[in-house]
Amino acid sequence: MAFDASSGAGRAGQLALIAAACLYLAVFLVIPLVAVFAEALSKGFAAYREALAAPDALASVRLTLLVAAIAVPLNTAFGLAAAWAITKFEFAGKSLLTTLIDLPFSVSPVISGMVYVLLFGAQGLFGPFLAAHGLKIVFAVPGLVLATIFVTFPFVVRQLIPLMLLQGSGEEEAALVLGASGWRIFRKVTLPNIRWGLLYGVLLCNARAMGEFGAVSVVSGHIRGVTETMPLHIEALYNGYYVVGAFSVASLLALLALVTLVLKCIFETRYREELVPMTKSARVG
Amino acid sequence: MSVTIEGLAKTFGHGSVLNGIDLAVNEGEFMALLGPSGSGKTSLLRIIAGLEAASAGRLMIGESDALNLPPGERRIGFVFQNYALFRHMRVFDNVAFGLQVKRGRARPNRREIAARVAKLLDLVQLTGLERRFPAQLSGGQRQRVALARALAVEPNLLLLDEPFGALDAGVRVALREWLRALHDRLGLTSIFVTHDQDEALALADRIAILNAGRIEQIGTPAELYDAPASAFIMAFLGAVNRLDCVVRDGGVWLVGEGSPIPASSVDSIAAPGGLATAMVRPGDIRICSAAETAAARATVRGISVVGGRLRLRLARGDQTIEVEADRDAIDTSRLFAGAPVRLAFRRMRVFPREATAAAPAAAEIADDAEDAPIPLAGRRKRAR
Repeated sequence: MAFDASSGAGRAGQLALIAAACLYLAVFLVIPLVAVFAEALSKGFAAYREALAAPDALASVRLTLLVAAIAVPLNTAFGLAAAWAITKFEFAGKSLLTTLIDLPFSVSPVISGMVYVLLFGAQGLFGPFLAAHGLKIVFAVPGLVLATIFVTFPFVVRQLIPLMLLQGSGEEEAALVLGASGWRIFRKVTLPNIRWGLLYGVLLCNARAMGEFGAVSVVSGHIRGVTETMPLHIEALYNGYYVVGAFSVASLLALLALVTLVLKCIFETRYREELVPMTKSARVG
Repeated sequence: MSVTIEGLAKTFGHGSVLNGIDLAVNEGEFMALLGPSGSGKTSLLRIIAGLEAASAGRLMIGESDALNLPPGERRIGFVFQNYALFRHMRVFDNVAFGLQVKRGRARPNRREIAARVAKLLDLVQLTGLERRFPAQLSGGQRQRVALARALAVEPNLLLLDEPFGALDAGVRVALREWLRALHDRLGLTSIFVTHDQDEALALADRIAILNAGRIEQIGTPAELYDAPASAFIMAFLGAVNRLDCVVRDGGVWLVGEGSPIPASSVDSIAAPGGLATAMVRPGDIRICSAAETAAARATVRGISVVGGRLRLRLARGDQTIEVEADRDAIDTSRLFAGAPVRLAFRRMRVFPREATAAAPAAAEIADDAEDAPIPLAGRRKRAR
């Protein structure tokens, strides 16, 4: 057999492949990640702490957390509603809705941002109306939130649809015949069945919401300390030749990525435990 | 509680799933809805439960017009095909669910719920498994949990969708006997859907046979088996041979034979004059001795023994005939391949020719059911 690991040639080939994969991973993932922390700490820990304690850096962290705190719950709610509608009901325009959900994935984030400038900017469609009422969306926090919601919309839905399709509507129907109300069915039957998939989607959505650059860059206006999220602040610091500052803030985002990765691993193990008896019962029962 | 269905129809875009269904189920009756897949039997059951909407017609459960009631207020117990147990709940909570979701004063307190669940689990012989999750149960146990869950709300009507479909053949037979006994004990009006004619014949008080969205015949198992109203029903209820024949002057002439079939061999003629199809079950064909006057001649193709039964495969022109008989009843010494045999029939039924067009499909579906009698003619055709 060609893939017999015990034969000499097969073993050598196997090792070569593993080595190639590891090398690739090291060059493109591990070394850059290490470089971020190395650069951040290149002038010592005191400089690192000072960079993070700068008012503008703190403001960018606060803003990023605020944007994520608004965008993620909204996308979770909309994602649940959309996934529920798509998997449990038949209605006209269902496939169109499914396609639209994927739109943010297929559109460049810069364009996502531009759309909001065109709609809500001073020269935009609603510009005069907003100006007349003293409302500011573009180059202000609402714009950042809108752009982030748009870009991160698919994460929760995409995670839930396959899971809910796999589980079918049988349990919901059983609960309905037994006299449960819609809300009760959702809380007692649907939600417990999808909880790990939901958490997983929320996690990915959050990672993207905090890390998004393109879309928010267009609507931000780059007002330091006011409309700069962490990714934008990092770029501004870097362009201003404040390398230690840029990498210090970047290290926070890198940490977020690591935390996300660890949680993702934990969820996936958890998730599989939930999935295994499920697929088994689907097969036997 | 009795169920009355009048003129029930269900249309989907241009197609129709159900057409003018009229059905009356008596109080305490065990009714089977039998039909091939796509016949509309599951849709009918789901409409009764309120899980699907009807396009037209009336549905009375007892004295109440049920079509306008939401599923939860129809007082129905529903056992789903794959049981649809709540996978993240233990057996206890599955059974208790219907009681826990009751609102206001209708909701029993915790102690009453526990007592009810214990009683139900005792009824379905699952005491001791309260703490298990559905994934930790066997197929038969899951089915009984589903049954206990459905009975917990004290329904007026029990609906079962292919209740034995997901079970192994052995468990299936044992469980269906048990379910029938339970039905008799509870006296609950029940309707179950099945594609397995054996199951329907063995279990039901009456059977409604559905085909292409219509009820073809309603009757007791004996009525349907002994007096099928159409070729479809005759083919669907068990293995059958089809022979080309001509109906002339009130007599039946097999194509290629010089004399008519004796009138005593023919149960019914539902065809006008001219070409028709004679249907006869494998057990209703007999090999004649030399002294008898035979109704038809054929040639032996093959012979096999299945348990105490003998199966003969015969050729008559380009048609194949299957004969089934007790081993002791036939002298097999002269039944070698190529030997000529003379046949006599009983309980032959003659149907119009075109009606048999749907029959091969029915034979194939019956074929899929594991312990259905083998539709000999149908199987042979596909093997070629």
